[in-house]
Amino acid sequence: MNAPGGSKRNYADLARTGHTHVSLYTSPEVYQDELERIFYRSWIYVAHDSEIPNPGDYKTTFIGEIPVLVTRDQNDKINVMINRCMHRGSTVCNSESGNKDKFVCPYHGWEYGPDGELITIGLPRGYNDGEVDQEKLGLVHAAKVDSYRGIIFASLYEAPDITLDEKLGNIKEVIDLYMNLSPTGKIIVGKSGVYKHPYDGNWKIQTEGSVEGYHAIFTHHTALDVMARKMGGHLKGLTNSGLHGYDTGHGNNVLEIYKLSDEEVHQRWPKDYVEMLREAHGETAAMDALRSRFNMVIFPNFAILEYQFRVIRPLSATETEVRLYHTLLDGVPKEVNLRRIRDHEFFYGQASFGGPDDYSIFARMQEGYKAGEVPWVHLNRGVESETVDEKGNRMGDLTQETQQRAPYYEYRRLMAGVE
Amino acid sequence: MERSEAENFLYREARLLNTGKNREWQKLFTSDAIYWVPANDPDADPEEHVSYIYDDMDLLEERLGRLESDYCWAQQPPSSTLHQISNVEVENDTDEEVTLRSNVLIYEYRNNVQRRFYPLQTFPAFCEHRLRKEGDEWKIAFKKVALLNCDGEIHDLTFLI
Ligand code: FES
Ligand SMILES: [Fe+2]
Repeated sequence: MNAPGGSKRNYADLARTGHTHVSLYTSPEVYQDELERIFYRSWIYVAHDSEIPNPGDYKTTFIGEIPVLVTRDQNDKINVMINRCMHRGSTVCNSESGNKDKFVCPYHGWEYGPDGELITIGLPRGYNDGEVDQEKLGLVHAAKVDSYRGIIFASLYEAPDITLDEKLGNIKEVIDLYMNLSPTGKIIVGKSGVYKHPYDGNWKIQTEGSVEGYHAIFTHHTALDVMARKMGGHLKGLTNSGLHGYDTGHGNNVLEIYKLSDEEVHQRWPKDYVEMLREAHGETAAMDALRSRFNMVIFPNFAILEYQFRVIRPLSATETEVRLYHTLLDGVPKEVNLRRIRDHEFFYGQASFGGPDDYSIFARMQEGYKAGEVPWVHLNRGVESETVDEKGNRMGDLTQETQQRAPYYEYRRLMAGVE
Repeated sequence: MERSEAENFLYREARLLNTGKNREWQKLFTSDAIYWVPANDPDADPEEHVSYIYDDMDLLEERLGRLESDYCWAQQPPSSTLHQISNVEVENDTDEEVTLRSNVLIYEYRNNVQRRFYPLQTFPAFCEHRLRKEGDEWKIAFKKVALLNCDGEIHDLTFLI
């Protein structure tokens, strides 16, 4: 779109509805175009409020390949800035998180405040008048930062052509459902653990894979077997129909994993917790939150699954790092969070019963994609029977691939300017 | 417990793991044992922080069952491991209970990998075993393996650690 240069590929033809071209998963040029047109110029997840609760708190992360610093400054404002000293380019912060009142560049001592302002430069008398304009040499801020329910997104080089509100659209109500699992509507992200999971494959395999409704009974045979025996009935949805995948627009999508009956909600969760939510949110909203489990993807790099915030970081056309930030619910009985810890580590994490099988398959997909003369990846399951629900979401059965097709509408829009 | 006896115990455990005798290894544990591999922070409270592994013996039974099944895709082809043990120390030594601290260097490799060039993985770790006497045998009541890179980017830990 607005990105300078880039390749002349016809992305509208390569990212078809129902078929994606294998070069989208393998080509370094495509990958560069994606960085420039998607990662550096549209809404990208960077952090959750709870990771930087106090003034001076910071975390470092990446937008695409670019290191960024997310801070809460003394005025309680969130800043998303490029972690690059304005002098000669060193990162100004070298740890993942912490609290600082200034970021000191180790090379020549330039110091930046949590708001990015350049406070001091080393040996200032060596500069003649006009050689250094301190006011203009603060850290470079993302062009746009906004948040919803504490979930912070930024667009790095240019303001996106849609607001965050437009970007999130119908998926906001699914985020609300998730937050309603806490009586205060708040969650705490990552304090209770982060799995840091690299895989040898393109980033979109994980974007697609986070809402894969077709694979579970094959890939997760062993996990489902244990869950059926140990954890009981609420998993029937994984093979049962009546559950759906949704395309909520702008690449975002939702996969329903199960919907519990009232009775199953009560079997699953302790009484005091259910009561607490009823009091906080009212009967309907409380039960809706408790009965629903979704996986949702906010294109391109973010997903929320039952117990986790999932953040996808592209490393190259064929390498990706995924971080699974465990989420704690604020204000709930300890046993509820404990349960969320044990259930999370059962299925996710590198030694768990579920996730490792997915990641081993992601690497195998990437291996298969080396065959560039076998051009198409099929994502067309259910494309003919797809409908549109009353809210305007495209919708199909959960094992069909509506939700995995969803990103490619936005992909075409951002990569090729095609609506 | 003499250090030599502690070493013999740990060497035997390693031999069972490294020769695929998972079910004999399982018998080393007490029925109320915990097998723990922390994530991110070795000192984190496992009730407030996710772990890589936090198995009671029911879940360990399921883990071994999964490894034996044909559907554990992450273990196709399966890992072989070599547990190299050193720095053994004996603590809190009583007739009924004893704590063993050791360092372990786990090597993990896979033969027969289609992609070839499987990288030989190394996982150095601090181990703590709490043993309890059952009859005249020492059993593992608690095993903690704190990987040196427990906060790092790790591909796969689906083998026994
Ligand atoms: S590079 Fe940062 S002060 Fe010179
Ligand atoms: Fe999966």
